[in-house]
Amino acid sequence: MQKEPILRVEGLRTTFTGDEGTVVAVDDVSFDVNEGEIVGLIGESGSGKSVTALAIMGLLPKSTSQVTAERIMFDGRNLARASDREMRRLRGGSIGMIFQEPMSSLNPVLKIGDQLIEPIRIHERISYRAAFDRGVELLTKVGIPSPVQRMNDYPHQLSGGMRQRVMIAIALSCSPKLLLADEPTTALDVTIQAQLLDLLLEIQAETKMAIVLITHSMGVIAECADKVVVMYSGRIAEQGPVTDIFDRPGHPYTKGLMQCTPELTGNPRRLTTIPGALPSLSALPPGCRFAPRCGLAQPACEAGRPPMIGVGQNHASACIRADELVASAAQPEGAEV
Amino acid sequence: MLAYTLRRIAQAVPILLLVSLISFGIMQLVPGDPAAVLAGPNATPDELIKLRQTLGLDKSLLSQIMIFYGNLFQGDLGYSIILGEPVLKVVLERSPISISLALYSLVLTVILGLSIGVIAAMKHNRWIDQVAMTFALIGVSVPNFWLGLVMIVLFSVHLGWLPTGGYVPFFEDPVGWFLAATMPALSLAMMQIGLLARLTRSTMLEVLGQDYIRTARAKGASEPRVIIKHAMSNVLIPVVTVLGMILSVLLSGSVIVETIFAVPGIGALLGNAILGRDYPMIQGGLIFVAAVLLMLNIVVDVLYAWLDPRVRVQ
Repeated sequence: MQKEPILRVEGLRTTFTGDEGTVVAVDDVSFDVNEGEIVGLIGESGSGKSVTALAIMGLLPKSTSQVTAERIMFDGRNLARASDREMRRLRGGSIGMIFQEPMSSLNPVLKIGDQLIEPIRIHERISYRAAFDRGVELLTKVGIPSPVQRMNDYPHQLSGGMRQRVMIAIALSCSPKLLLADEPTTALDVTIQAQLLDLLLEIQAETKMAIVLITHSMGVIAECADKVVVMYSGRIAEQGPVTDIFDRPGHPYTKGLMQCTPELTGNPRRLTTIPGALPSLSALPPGCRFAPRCGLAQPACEAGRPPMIGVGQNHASACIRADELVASAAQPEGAEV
Repeated sequence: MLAYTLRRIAQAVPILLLVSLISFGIMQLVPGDPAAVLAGPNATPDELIKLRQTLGLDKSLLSQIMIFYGNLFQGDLGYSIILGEPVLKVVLERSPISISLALYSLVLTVILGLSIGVIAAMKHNRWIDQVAMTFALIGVSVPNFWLGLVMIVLFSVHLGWLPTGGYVPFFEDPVGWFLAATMPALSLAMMQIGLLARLTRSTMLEVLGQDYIRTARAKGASEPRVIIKHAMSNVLIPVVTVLGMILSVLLSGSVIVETIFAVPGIGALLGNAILGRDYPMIQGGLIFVAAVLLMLNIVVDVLYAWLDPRVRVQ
């Protein structure tokens, strides 16, 4: 019997109300994150990845957005029904979050040290001195040289990579059980990206915290994740263990994503792209949302929402032709589907 | 920080020299003979010669400048023709009245302007926001002399709560000072309150949409903490920038308000000096007011650098 997952999201739905009416940004999303597991949440910009993370954290503006879910179980608590007070206690405490933009995520007028020890001071009864010492320790841990001086620096004195390290240190400051990393490396140089991913993996190996890693790079997923959740247009297209997804993708979208990733080994080939763009959230196709861009679409795809079909252990795809796809992947390269 | 402060003070010196040069030029710019203008049509030639000597107008331009600056550096701003007293003495007597009024106005502006702006931003697009912004618009649009007169009619004549005007020195009778200064200070401040409320609201709305505010919330910070520690520290930066300008307006714009409320401040003094062609008084008053404004602006700039660490580097 497997342990309860640290995070279980069931039927998460998020809508935004604006001048042009209400749009559904995240529609019936369910996934599990087990303790110590790294789950990659992948999809194009606008597919609802970040909104999913912000909805779990309760960080979406209440005036314009509505979050509903059957359940969002975290560590035995249902976040879907948690009060603001309970959510505040979890945020920055048991759940840490890292954002995409290191340049603007730190407050420009406050010292690094003050920003770093803030969650410690909020969540734990601990003296300033002790919190400061822990801050220095954290900066050392995330690989920032001369940490004591850095505590007194302001964000503008640090590079983007350094700032993102500080953001990681902030997220880790209260030893969270779950880390939501929203494209933590997207805004950085490639070399820095690799360093930061390594750092995250290193810390994860040490602390055994669970990570939801949001990204739009299949390469990052391949390097880090245990499990993959592929999102498309606010819904889950496919999810499963990382090896299954890469070896036997059960959704044409996943396959398309992999074909857009350059390979450094093997024969060089022309990169393919997925034609078209994400549908507008206010004009969604009636059936499968990927159907208008899908080379394998059949009339049946437009009939209604495709159900999640199990194609392996913990591996499911929202494509009515998932079985065909998985079967064909077992055959040699180039075989027709 | 100290170097920055000293640099700002050093920058003020050429400005002050320029202002004093302009002030010196006033006498030279009077059409015809200033002495004749001052003495009036019935003056005898002897009186004119005497007056020219008192004003130093019989000397060459160069020596006039030398004497002017020589006196200035010794703190001598000349003699008032109307009052017959040293300009510096009169100015020093009257300026605390205006400065205390301006500071009271500033306190009202900051407290009311900031809180109205912050509340409006936090209740964005709700009825409180609408009410606050309507109030701010009225504040910006209503002329201060009209507001002053209406307040006198309402609070002094009809209700009898506050004196119609005059001035009570703060250290003699704080309550009396407070009663007498409230209406002038409020009518001076009204427009600035409106401006500051609008600026605060729009800045706060912008700041609340920033990523670092989301970061603060992601740390589990409570809403008051997010607003006060994370948002206000950023909102104050542009607010302090306009504070210097607001102070200048409050201090130099008090001529009308001081006249309406019969406050014997520097505004009323200079107003009377202009009407009575008391040139030494105008010159001295101008230099003095410029020096005070410069000083206040230096204070504002230093405050700005203290609030925004990014400024200190340059």
